[in-house]
Amino acid sequence: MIQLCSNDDPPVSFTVPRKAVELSKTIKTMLEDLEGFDMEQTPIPLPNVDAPTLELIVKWVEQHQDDPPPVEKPRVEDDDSDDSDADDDQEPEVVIPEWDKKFLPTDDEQKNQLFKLLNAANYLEIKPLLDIGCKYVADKISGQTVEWVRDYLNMENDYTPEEEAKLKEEIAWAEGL
Amino acid sequence: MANPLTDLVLSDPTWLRVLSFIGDPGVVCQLGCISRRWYRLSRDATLWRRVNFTERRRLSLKKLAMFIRRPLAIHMHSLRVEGFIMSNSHSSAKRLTVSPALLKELEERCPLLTELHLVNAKMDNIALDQFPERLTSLNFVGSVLSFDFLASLTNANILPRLTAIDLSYVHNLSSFSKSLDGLLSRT
Repeated sequence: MIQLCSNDDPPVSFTVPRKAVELSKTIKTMLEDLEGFDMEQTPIPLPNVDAPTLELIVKWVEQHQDDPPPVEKPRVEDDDSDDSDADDDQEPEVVIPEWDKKFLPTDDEQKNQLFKLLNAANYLEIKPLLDIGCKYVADKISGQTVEWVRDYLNMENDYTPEEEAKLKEEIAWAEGL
Repeated sequence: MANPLTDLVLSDPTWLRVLSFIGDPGVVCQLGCISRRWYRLSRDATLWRRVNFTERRRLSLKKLAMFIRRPLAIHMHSLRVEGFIMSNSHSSAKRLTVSPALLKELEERCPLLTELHLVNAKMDNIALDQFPERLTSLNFVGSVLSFDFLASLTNANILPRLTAIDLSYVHNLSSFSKSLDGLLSRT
């Protein structure tokens, strides 16, 4: 078992099976680098993650610890160097599993928690969790008006009226799709 | 924090990941109207390498031309366009998907474009030598092509870099299938 500590004062610690914790590439690499130390006795501090977010992370990795590892797409052998990065640009296909749909903090008042979770997943390099979270946000804002998204994300419109007029012209091809 | 500005909470790479899941180029472009930061994010080159205007994202010829004239189009490696052949309405099925002038603009404005998909497209107004020369991959699944199309394909001087072409379900393929022998001789 591995202990993870939040950045709160005082820190809140969680005890997690090593297998689950290794879903985080960041922690897995850290544990590999510290091979030989007794990590069972050494709590790992996570300076960027608060307790409620860490609790969610722990819940997710415990649920998914027995998932088969993600299938690496075989590289297409191609002598044309122009296509060498084609794999990275593919539109990602992500389906959010049922358990994860219920797991994600999706109520509007939990918005900040959702974003904190995504940042933590990014920092800890838990790619499948980051993907389902980003996919959820993408679906949420797709098909909404600009005003709605601005409101959802608490953002200020920092354009001048002149810039807005210019922008309107620029996106004319995308209007009324 | 009572009401933190959530815009600042997510990092640029995470927002780019969100945008990459949106898929619809029109929606991504419109999200640039939110704020200056979102303008910068929505115009990131990585989001515009593969552009897909198929299914619900189909564009008219006029809007497609407007898009190609935007600076965004310069990033495209791959472009997918769907025509209106499969449309329920008779009048839209007759609409041309691209024009020779549009292909010319693609050649001039999109120096990185090597892959072009024109599916369910009405293309009988186009000759093969009107496509951008640097294309390596063409896909015409379900399209209607001009009659001398396959014959031009046998000419290795036309689209010299072409290594892949998909003609599945091309509607009028049988009428010029004599050219298939010539095609096989092209390496």
